[in-house]
Amino acid sequence: MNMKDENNITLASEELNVAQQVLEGEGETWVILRWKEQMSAEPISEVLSVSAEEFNCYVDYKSIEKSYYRGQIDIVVNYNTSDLNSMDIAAKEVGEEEYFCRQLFYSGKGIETESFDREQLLQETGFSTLMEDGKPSERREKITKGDRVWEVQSPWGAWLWGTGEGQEATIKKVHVAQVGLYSILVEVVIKLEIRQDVSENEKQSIASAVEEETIYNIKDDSIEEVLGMPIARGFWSCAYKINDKKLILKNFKKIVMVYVSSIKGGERLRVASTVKEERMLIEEGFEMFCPVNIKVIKSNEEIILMSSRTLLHREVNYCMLKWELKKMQEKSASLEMVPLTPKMTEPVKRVKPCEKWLKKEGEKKKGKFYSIMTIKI
Amino acid sequence: MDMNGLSTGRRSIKNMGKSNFAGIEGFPSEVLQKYKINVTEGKKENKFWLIKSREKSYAAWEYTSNIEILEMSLKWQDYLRQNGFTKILPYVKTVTGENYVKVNKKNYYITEFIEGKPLDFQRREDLLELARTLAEIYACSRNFEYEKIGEKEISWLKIKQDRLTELLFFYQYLSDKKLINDYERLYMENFKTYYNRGQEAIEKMVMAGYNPSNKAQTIVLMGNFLEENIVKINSDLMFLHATSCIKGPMIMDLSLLLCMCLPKHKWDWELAKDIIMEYQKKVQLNMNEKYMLLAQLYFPRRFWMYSYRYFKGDGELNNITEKLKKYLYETYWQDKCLNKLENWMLEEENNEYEG
Repeated sequence: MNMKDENNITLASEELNVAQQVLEGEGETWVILRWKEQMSAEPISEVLSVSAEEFNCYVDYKSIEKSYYRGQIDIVVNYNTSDLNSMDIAAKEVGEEEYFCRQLFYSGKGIETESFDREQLLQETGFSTLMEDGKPSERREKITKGDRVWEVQSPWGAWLWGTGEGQEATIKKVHVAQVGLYSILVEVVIKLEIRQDVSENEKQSIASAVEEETIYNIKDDSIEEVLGMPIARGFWSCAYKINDKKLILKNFKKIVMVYVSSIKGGERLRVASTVKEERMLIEEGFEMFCPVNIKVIKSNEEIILMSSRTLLHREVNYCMLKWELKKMQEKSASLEMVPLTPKMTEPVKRVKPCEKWLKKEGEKKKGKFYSIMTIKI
Repeated sequence: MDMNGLSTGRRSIKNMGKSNFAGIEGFPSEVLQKYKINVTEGKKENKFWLIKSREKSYAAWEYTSNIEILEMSLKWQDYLRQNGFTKILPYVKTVTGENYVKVNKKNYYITEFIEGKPLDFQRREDLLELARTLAEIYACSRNFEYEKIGEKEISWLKIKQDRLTELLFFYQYLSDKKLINDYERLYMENFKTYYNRGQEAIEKMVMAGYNPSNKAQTIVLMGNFLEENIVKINSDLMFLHATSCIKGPMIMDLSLLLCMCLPKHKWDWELAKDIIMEYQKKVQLNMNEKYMLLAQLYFPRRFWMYSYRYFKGDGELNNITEKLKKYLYETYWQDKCLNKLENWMLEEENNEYEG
């Protein structure tokens, strides 16, 4: 497939955030929750199971443009530990290693990083991991005697942009992994989504419908599954080309990919993104002004994983423009129209110089003219 | 080749008779020509070449470290012998009176050799005897002075602080990266614990009054307690050779011995106490020396060494990761031992003070 360079885009990995990472797009929001903790002093031998004891969601605030969703999540992890007393700790060469280390210290040889090639050291983990699709079932039957339990209870919240009938939040993936001798990591991906149906009125305001096909690559990771690609647009500007009689709408578009890394070990629910400038060409049905409102709805989205580092993304973007504020005016009709006429005010009375210190006839001193302030050191 | 650059493996050529001796495979014949040894047989052992004449056996060693250390070690051995310590097999001088021979940019020296049973660190009695021997070495060598013109002052405080700084750089380097293997995950999980241990060890050294500028505190140390280097001959311990000498505070030899043998006993604090008490029968330790000993035991040398190997690509990654894991488990036992040792030392000190 011959693609132009502009349709072949590299996504850069985003920094991982502990606790909560929110990725907002138009009509969808992805929330990644992460917790990492050191458990007991005994080394963990295996992660056994994970369950979601509670997961709820409610709308805390709603406006025309956006809504704020809140919820509570309760994840329980079962694991077991090893008995240190029964472990063989001494490697055969420990004595030699202590001796050689002392010699190295004395020789002044330190850690050399010049020829260090870290990429060659990529290796899948030997620690246990679990990945669950959707909300894992409730726990109680899964625990057996001797298991240890780690329970994480956390609130979460995020904005969801867009109009339309909101849908319930859903858990898309839960990942649990042992990430050290004593540490466990839990990751949960939640999706909030608005059904983006195009109403009859809105269909009349469709200015363009463009089918886009883009190839995305990542460099420093490997993709097992793409969960979603929320897109957010902002910083709109418009320009009218007189000669061509076309309207050009420009914006900055942030493309985010939420995916599951195929490399087992550590954080696997990851995000890669990029920001690019987008230009939309409107050829008819517009006026020579900037539109009052611009809305882009995606439809027929298709994501095809071509290799562990490349995917093909297809979608149809409907661009809808609004030129009038009829709805806003209707809303304000109930307010009283107050004419804006200038109001004359009386001039400020000017005090004569020293007037306030001059004694006036017959006037007695009222109250105190001084106060005593005591400062204690 | 091992870390010292010594050849490993075995190759042997039996001689047909004195005049027909063809030489030892892998060992330069020019070296033998410099010595007054009528060689009848020679073969390659694990770390040296075994040479036999009609009268005696000898061990020939290739030396690849800093030649100044070899010169210092041999002079130190002479001094020990003069002071009555004969538990190191003596080296042999060449016909022209030199201590070692240089051939093709490599250095070789020859020592006498006696067949014996290698020391076993699993045997408590062997360890106690080694502690006694160590104390004898110190008693005989404490006044030995060796300083080359232009030699830099050795500060073990600085050496340890530099190593900790390298660990910190590695931690900061990994902090904003996706961790790509279990070694890095273990490192990041445990870095703070071991970095703090290292800083605590350095504080203990300072509390112990360690001063690198004080020449009285810096002596020549044995520095090598590898089991293969120590044999039992007629109930006596003998060191096959002693050319890995380093300079530092006296207590570092005792701490090295403890660090080398205690992991095999799950850091049995009773054994540690017995070894120290055996040592103290000959050389009494004051409180500063005890603090210094604890500091050496606390310092996370191997945590640093595994990082050194990780960066160097020295050894297979799975192997380094497994060793780091075992070291992390070992710390559980080490901590219990060192807490008890510290309490015992303080108790001893209080008893002495009250007494």
